[in-house]
Amino acid sequence: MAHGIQPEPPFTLSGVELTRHPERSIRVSRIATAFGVLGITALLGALGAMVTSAIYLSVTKSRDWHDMLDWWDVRMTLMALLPAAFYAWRWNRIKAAWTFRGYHLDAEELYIRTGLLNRSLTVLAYARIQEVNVSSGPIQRRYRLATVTISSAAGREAIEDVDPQTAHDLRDRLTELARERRLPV
Amino acid sequence: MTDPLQGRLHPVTPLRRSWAVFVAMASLAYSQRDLFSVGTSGTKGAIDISVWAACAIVAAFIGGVVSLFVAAWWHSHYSLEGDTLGYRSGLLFKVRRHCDLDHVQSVDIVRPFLGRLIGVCTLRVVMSGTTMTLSYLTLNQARTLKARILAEDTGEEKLYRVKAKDLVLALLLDIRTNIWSLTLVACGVLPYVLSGELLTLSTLIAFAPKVWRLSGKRLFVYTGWSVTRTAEGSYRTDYGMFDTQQYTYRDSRVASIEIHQPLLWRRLDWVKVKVAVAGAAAPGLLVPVCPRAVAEKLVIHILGPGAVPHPNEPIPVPLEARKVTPFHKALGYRLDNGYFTAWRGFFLRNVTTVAPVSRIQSVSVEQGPLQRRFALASVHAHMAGGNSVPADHRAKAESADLASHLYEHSMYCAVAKPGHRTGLADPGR
Repeated sequence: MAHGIQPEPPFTLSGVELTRHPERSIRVSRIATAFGVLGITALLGALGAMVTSAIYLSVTKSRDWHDMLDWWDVRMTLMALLPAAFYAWRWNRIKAAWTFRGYHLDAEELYIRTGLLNRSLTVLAYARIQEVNVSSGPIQRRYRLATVTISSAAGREAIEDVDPQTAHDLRDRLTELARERRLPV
Repeated sequence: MTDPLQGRLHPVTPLRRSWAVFVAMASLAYSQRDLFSVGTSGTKGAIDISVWAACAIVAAFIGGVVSLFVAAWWHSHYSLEGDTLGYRSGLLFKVRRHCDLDHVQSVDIVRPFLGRLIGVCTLRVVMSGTTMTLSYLTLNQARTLKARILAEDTGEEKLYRVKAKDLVLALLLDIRTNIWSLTLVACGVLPYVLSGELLTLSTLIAFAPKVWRLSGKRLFVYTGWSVTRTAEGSYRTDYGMFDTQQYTYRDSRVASIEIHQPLLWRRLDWVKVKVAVAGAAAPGLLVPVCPRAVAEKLVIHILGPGAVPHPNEPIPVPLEARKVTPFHKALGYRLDNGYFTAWRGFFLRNVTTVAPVSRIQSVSVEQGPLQRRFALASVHAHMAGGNSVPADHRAKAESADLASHLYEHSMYCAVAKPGHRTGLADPGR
């Protein structure tokens, strides 16, 4: 694995390998990241245009937008390369993140490991589970993937991008485990 | 079985929402007063109305309004029968509400300023998820209802009362809030200083509510603050100079207690106590200012003995943490006697959080890129209600250890004592 991450303690479980997500989830993450980068670029572009015209209107006497075009420099196109460069860097790191992500159903608790830059490993006891949901967005559906969301009194955790069949199995399994182990509140 | 308790709301109730309509109509009539001339015929450009017609119109209007009010009051009705509290009102849009007393978490009496002048108050019944308010009731009605809903033996114990002198001094010394409100004022005044145009001062209007909430309002709201322990085991705060209010914390729902200490309070060793309750978004205030000894006594009172084991002995963070954060000296944690205590804070404010481990819902280890460089990680204990208690910047092995300990302790304590404190584990209302 050229770009893999070997999880180190505190993110490892003794004697257990976490279940990995299907490999096509990398693709979904890449598409989602592309949309995010595009959105932020559009936002920054609009902001830049607004700031430029505000400066232009306050600095110059001219009210002809053709004059504003004279401010344009071809080298400014380079700015469009910034999001592209960022995305190129993310391309490989998304795959690395996939080697880090995972989940594990232990005897009494559920482990979820996510993240790349900010990494986290969460433990949630089956007894604390209140609700289990399966959902799937348009891009996920295109690649036959689904997300399992697990709610407890403290909020929600998600196992993102698993097979729809696995998601259904997880949902049934988790609800059953939660019912068996429910704590007296 | 006791006999049902029922009655009507106070006759001023319809005025609660409709006074604005009257003010609007009166101002409209005043601004359009030239349109009509009463008694003097032949005025140019005005509609003549004879005196008797004007009297009749006014009388009909007043009669209509009064009868509407009486009808509305006649139809607003509450009843407490057996285990349900019912309420119905409305002429055009009927409202009927019923609540089961089994779900009631707390009952508070709120007295708005104008209401205090005419002797009425609001009864607020808090259930998990919703709140039912009965307004207005006479004070006697509200007290009887409250006593019946809680079925309480009214034994109460006053735990602490904030002195007005201490409160004023404390608010003046709360430098973080004062700097923040001064900054807001400066933001409002700056355009005026730069431009010299008087009109630019109007931006102050936008900042005024926030500044008021940060400074003056707190004095009025916090005046006369007292904490009372009621017989059924909850903690009630009474406060307010003009609007007298109450808020009750059920101790079986307390997820964590925060003790805040602003910089300039250190010398006096004063603290502010906040309580995070499962189901509420932000931690609520228990005491605005009190000496640390009192705060610790309160914590022990609410969470049980052993909750403040080593108040001044946090386990310090490893040396590497100083490269990650400038506030490493304030960080620390302790886990013993079934309580997780975390210290954090920055220059202007220190915060100590005490949480019973049985209330921890999930535990996570987190690591950012900078922490990874120095082999550090943070442990977060997520409490019921969405708050989390962090132990930041621990060494890698220590964090893994702490996370598994927290998890095991939380499960062990939750199984061993379902309510978080033995003797008070009454799941009923």
